[in-house]
Amino acid sequence: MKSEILSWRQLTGRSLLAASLLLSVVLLGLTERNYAAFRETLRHIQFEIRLVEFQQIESQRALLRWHARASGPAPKVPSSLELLDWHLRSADGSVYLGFYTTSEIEVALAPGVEIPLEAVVEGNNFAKLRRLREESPGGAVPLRFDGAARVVFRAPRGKVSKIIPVVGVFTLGAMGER
Amino acid sequence: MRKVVRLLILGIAGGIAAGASAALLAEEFLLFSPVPSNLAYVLLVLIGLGMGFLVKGMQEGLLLGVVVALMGTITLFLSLYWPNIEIGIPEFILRSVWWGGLTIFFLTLIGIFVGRIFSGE
Repeated sequence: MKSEILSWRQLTGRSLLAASLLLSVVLLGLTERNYAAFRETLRHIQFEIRLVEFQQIESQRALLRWHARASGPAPKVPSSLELLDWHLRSADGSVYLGFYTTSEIEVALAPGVEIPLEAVVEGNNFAKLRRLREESPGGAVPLRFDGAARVVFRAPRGKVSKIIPVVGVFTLGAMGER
Repeated sequence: MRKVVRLLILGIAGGIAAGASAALLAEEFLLFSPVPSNLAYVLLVLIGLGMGFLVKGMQEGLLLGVVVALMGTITLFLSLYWPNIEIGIPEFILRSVWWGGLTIFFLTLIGIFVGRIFSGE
């Protein structure tokens, strides 16, 4: 009788332990796979900044338009991308040309997706930009774009938001150049 | 000797299961889990319950609880560290391992106690 009770306990204990081990390892494997794909996307996401328009719109204002292009692997979970704000500086960082922000443009994250951005440089920043252009040979000024993008991943049990730096150098040509 | 080997096998198997379950509760990881976090707590108690049926006496149960907590904490750390290997050991991993280790220890111990009670001790 005693050995029967013991074997019943042993059987229940072993079954519970084996089932729990199997289930927890399978669940961990699935979670690791999802999480690794998220980290992979985050690790390889890169941005390329391209100036598409530069125009003097009034005597003391200039309009700049860029496309921020995201590249990297296709995300395995639905994700969206938003460029929050950016700073403009001369390429060597010595002249600061202001802080700009978008009006909350959010796009679905995919390889090659582009976010249109624009900034109006005016006042003191415009004067600094003009001075930089005057000092540069041929009026071509290399500038640095320092921004931050928010990537939101819709994970199975909630949203994960990450801020990624967006840095690019571009050259301003002649006024009115596209 | 045979008793020690048996205890180690149970501790390693239970620890891996407990660590894997506790990893499902860790901050960012939790969001990528296909199941709700409550299931991880249930699994931890079930692991303890299973071991409660297998140990002989409460003292052996307590010892097994410590082995499982140690092995579980190592498994939990490796589960969180491996996908984040390129960014080192962020604060959330240390926080999750600390809380995960305590959760594993107390929940498996509760399971072991319940298992011993069911076993008629």
